[in-house]
Amino acid sequence: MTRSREISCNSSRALYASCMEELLTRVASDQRTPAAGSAAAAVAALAAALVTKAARRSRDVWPEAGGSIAQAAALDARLREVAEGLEQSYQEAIGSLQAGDADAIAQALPQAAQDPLELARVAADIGLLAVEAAHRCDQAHHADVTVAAMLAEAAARSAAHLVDVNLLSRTEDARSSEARMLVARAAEAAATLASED
Amino acid sequence: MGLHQPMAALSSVSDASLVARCRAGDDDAWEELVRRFSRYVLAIAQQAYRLSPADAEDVFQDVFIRTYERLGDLRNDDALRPWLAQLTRRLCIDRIRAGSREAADADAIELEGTDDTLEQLNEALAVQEALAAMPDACREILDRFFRRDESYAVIGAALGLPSGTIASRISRCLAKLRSQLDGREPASGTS
Repeated sequence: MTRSREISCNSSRALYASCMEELLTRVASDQRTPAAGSAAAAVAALAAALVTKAARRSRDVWPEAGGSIAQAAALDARLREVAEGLEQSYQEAIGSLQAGDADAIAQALPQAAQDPLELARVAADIGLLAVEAAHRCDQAHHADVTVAAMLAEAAARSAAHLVDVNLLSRTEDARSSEARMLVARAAEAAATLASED
Repeated sequence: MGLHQPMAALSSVSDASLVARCRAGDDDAWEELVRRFSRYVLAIAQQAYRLSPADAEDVFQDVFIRTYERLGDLRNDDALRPWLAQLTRRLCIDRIRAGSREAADADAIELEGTDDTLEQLNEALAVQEALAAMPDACREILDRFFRRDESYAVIGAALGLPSGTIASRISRCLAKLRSQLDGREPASGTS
């Protein structure tokens, strides 16, 4: 038994809540899901974890570090819900498309766009939280939160792409516009921090 | 001070003061006591003892009837909450025992994790009380982020604040909340 196998992976939970080894195995499998949305959610979760690490290791110089830890935990909890929704709505959308059921498609696709939009919202907030952390944490960890912001941007950008794809590229849709705005916000956060390293 | 203090004012009085007013026959104080602890009592019955909603409702009624009858037995007015918790526990056990064919002792009925659940409920109630004592601005921003799951952008738009400042404001409010819970005043303002 390898060391990583000793870590309990609960396959009944969403991919995001599983351990890294299971995450990689399941994403690489020949099953329809988990796929891109879940992978993007996991990236956002890593970003939140990096913010948490920087805050935890900065308590001596940052009295309000606990506030950022609590916010990262809250955003992480939202990601878990989003990850579960992403898998479910994606499966339902694919099912309706394969069945060619117009009514089912009309019902399933909006939700399949809503879930990645929610992921983009959370990812953008993780980017903003990373900026807050970067400016207050022990500067030895500035690069950690810069990377957190970069990962958050990647997750937001990926999620925005899925919004467009699941809306069948109806880019005039308000959800697409909001997703693009969220990507811009996350990108700005990452660029700001990268320029400070 | 008259007996019929408005409910809004009663919501901020201490548990001990509330008990004293109840003993003096203040109906509004009784109403406030039930309002303040109703969710707590129901949570113990449903979460710690996993009673059905109907059984939990029966326990709820019994707890407050007995509180009305026996409040004079309370030796320390500051200890209202633990006294209510103990009374609720006992009535929950009575309810479970009544529903089983074989009489069981109380220890056997105590479910795994009951103490942890009660501790969590006590913490939740303490946080709720501390939140109630916070300035409106802090209470609102914490409620929006942690309870309503609103994004920084939505909070910023609602409160007329730049979204980039929301995270730091939440952190300051959490620090103040922590100070409230620790029983000491924070060193600085909140926003």
